Amino acid sequence: MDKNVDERIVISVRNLSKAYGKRQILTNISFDVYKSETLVIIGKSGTGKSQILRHIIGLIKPDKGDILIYGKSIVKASKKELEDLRKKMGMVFQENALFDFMTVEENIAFPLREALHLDEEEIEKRINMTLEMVDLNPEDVRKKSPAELSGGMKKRVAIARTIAMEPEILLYDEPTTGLDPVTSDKINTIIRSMQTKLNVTSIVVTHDMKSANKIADRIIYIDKTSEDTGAKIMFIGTPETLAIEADKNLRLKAFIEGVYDPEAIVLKKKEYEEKYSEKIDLDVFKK
Amino acid sequence: MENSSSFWVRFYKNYERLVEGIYHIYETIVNIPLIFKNINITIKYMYEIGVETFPLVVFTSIFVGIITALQANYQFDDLVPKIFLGTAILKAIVTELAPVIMALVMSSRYASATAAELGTMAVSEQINAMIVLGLNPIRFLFTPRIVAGIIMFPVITILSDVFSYLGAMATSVFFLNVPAYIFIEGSKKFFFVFDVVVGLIKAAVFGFIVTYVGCIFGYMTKNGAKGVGESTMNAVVWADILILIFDFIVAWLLF
Ligand SMILES: Nc1ncnc2c1ncn2[C@@H]1O[C@H](COP(=O)(O)OP(=O)(O)OP(=O)(O)O)[C@@H](O)[C@H]1O
Ligand SMILES: [Mg+2]
Repeated sequence: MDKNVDERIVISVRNLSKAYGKRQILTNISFDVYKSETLVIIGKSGTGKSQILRHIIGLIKPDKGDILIYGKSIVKASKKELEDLRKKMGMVFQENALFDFMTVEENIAFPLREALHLDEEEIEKRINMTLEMVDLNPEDVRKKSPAELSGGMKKRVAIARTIAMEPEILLYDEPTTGLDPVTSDKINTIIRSMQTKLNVTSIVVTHDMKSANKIADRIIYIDKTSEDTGAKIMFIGTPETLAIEADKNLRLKAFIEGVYDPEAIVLKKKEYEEKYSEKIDLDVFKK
Repeated sequence: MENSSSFWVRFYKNYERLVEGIYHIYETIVNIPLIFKNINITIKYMYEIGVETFPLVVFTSIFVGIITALQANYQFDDLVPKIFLGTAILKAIVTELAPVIMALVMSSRYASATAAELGTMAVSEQINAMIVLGLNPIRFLFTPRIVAGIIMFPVITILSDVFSYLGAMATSVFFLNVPAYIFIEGSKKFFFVFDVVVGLIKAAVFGFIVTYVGCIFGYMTKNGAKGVGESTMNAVVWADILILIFDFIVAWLLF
């Protein structure tokens, strides 16, 4: 039955497990990503979201399980196959990973020239186009070195560098963290338009529920039940069903509402209900 | 049981890194023909290794010359005619002292700087970004530096030969009462071009060692700023150890 591979599946993560030494990080992670879908991964800090992206792009090998890109295993791929698969993929790193010995324009131009072998005219076009897409003025930033940019500007240059490669699959690791709400929204719009205009398949790791709700076709929530079990998928589904699930899962509720102690809300809610003897909405308790 | 298993796990991990470290030598060499596509990167490193270090090379070499002269004079102790002072000093300088001391000086300067630079790139994921963007980090980070090292170390060594010799001669003339013409006359005795060639072969080997060790320790850095510090230290220590080991091997093969 596995022979009948669904052609719409672009990325298939199967039973992925990873430990560092004795510490289990990921346990049995399985999910599929469909063509031109935007999948959002949420979960607390340190649960292993960035690790999942690194596995998908083949930077680390899993202890167990497999990852298929267009049906081809990236775990078992030869060096040449890996290079070919990666040509179709792009990743925006959490820490931006801009080459700090190069200017902004060189950061964008270097991979276009050396990996895609584009001509200078096309490179020039893409530098200006992508910088404008992320709301940076090309004339202002082109000649600057990354060290001269603010955190949010670096993030946007990193996004520009990745989308300039025009990959079919895009992995974003916290693309809006550290950005002001307006620029965040702009980035969300870019992620959306990459999907609608260019049919890009994306996985976005984020902490930002607002952006998750805006861009996600489906959401995955990962969490670990205790320190040494490793993170598992606790929820996978559309943004609408996430809200329903949250009522059953207090830790998830705490995460999406951004409160530290979910039990406190529930207790407080009960107290209030007893006092005023009427049902109230949980939202009141969000500061 | 617990202890022995963790020992073997540790052993395997070290071994694995060693294999990786040696494997990248192959990849570095395979990529040499590609440096001509971005020759300015290599030229930049040649400039860093050969030109920016000029004051350091001159200063160190003059002192090497001075000390060699004083030491040789002390050891000759009226038993050996002073005409042989130049002979002994020149041979010592070109075959051994200039290449080895320059390599040790460059290991503290260049292997450390390279390990810190690549180490920072590794922990800030710049190296991962290169891989993901389809840029081979070995090709762009290792090969140009190694080619620059192999070319420029012999150049530095020739400079060092010259300045050490001048330092030694000045010391002989001003402090040891050996006139310049006798010193030069002595140098010419038993002087073979082969000696210079041996020195330059050593220099090229050391050039490879210093740059490669700097690159590989930087490249394999893990664990943030602390890891960068450790890599920098290890790069210098291992470059120095390998310089001494290969000094022996080259001498043994060629003499
Ligand atoms: N090279 C490594 N060696 C050991 N442990 C590691 C390594 N890399 C990551 N980890 C561990 O794996 C876990 C998951 O890390 P990861 O960076 O994926 O978290 P994350 O979900 O992306 O967190 P954040 O939201 O803070 O970015 C962390 O607990 C981290 O300590
Ligand atoms: Mg992360």
